[in-house]
Amino acid sequence: MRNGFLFFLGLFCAALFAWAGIVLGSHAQLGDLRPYVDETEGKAFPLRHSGISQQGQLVYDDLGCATCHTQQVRRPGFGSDKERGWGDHQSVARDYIFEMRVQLGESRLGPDLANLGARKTPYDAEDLYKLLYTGSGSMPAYKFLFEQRSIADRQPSDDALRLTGNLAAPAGQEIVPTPRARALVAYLLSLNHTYEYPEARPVEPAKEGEHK
Amino acid sequence: MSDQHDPRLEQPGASDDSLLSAHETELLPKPDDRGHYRMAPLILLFVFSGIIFYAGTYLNEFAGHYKADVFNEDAPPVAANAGAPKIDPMVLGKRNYDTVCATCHQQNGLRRRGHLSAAREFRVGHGFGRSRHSRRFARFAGPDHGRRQAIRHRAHARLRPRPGRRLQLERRANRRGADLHPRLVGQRRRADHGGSGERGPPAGRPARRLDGRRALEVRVRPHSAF
Repeated sequence: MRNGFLFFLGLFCAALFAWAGIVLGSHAQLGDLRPYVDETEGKAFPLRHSGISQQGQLVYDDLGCATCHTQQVRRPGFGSDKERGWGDHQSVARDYIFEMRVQLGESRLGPDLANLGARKTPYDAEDLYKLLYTGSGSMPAYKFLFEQRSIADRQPSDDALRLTGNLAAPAGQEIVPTPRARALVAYLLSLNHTYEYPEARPVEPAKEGEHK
Repeated sequence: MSDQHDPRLEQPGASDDSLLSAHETELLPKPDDRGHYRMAPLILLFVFSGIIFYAGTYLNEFAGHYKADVFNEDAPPVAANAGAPKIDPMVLGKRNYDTVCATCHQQNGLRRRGHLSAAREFRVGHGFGRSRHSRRFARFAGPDHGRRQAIRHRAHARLRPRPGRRLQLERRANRRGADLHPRLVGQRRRADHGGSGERGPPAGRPARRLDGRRALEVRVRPHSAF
């Protein structure tokens, strides 16, 4: 190949330029984001996940939930996220500064989960266990996150699912969540990005003819 | 006809002109057919120029002023301190009250029997007395919450309109390193428990020193003393 070195040098420079723009540029802009201290609340936001919630985040990542669920709320007036009850304000970069792997997601085959723990219609752990076990609509059932065991020689577990019909456990058996399911549900219930940062507050759009 | 008279065999050799003309064609520049290179159509220059122009205007329109804290491309740029939260002084004051003041004044602002005067006036009231009280106790809302008991003693002393006999006894007790003078211990116990203390007077009988304490509290009028 004639001028092979020059060709690969140009290829390398193009890749380097793109990498610097995406990675270094973003890091320069967002790398120094710090938690926001609210003097009125007396707390710093966002709050960190607890230990079991962090384990649940690994399960969330492992199961590929981000394939169908997002964790980013669009601002009011840009989409219908607020009308669906997914959040009253848009997600901003500061919401994710404590995330080891940000699970933004890219398609919404299922609902957005950014504020699942703060929904007006509260989901408790039992509801989520049932949803994971039975599935719903386009959501598959994750029965491998549960264990069916005998209660012949033990007390029934408090976490045993109360199912009816064909899904009910056989007599003398119970269906209990595994530690992975418990961690996943704890993580889902800890998703609460309802604090409104200054940069997330709605601002008046620019008037026509005004310099933006 | 013999082969020697064949005209095809007696053709003259190539002339110089014919040789030069034949080589000139070879010397002319030829298209690089082996590398299959062709000149790009000129229209592509205009096409890519248009794409770059469109991308530049799109980026300028929707880049959010190239700021990382702008999440609405339709909004005008906001000053750095414009988004600072407005601290509600009532909320902040309530938090400080719950942290510091509620120990003595209770959550409802009513005093505990035998302790400091009621703070309800300062929670719901307005005016000079309230602000002075806030300034007086603001320094307690610090890292020395664990010393609340000692602070309370000092607060007792400061709330008095003028040093009296009890303050002298407290100061004397403090100098000796004791928690409280024995006379004050019995006095406060009687005030707290309605005279059921060990050294207090019999129930139903007003205590002389308790009356003196009440007189002190009466003198400590909230709006005048604070």
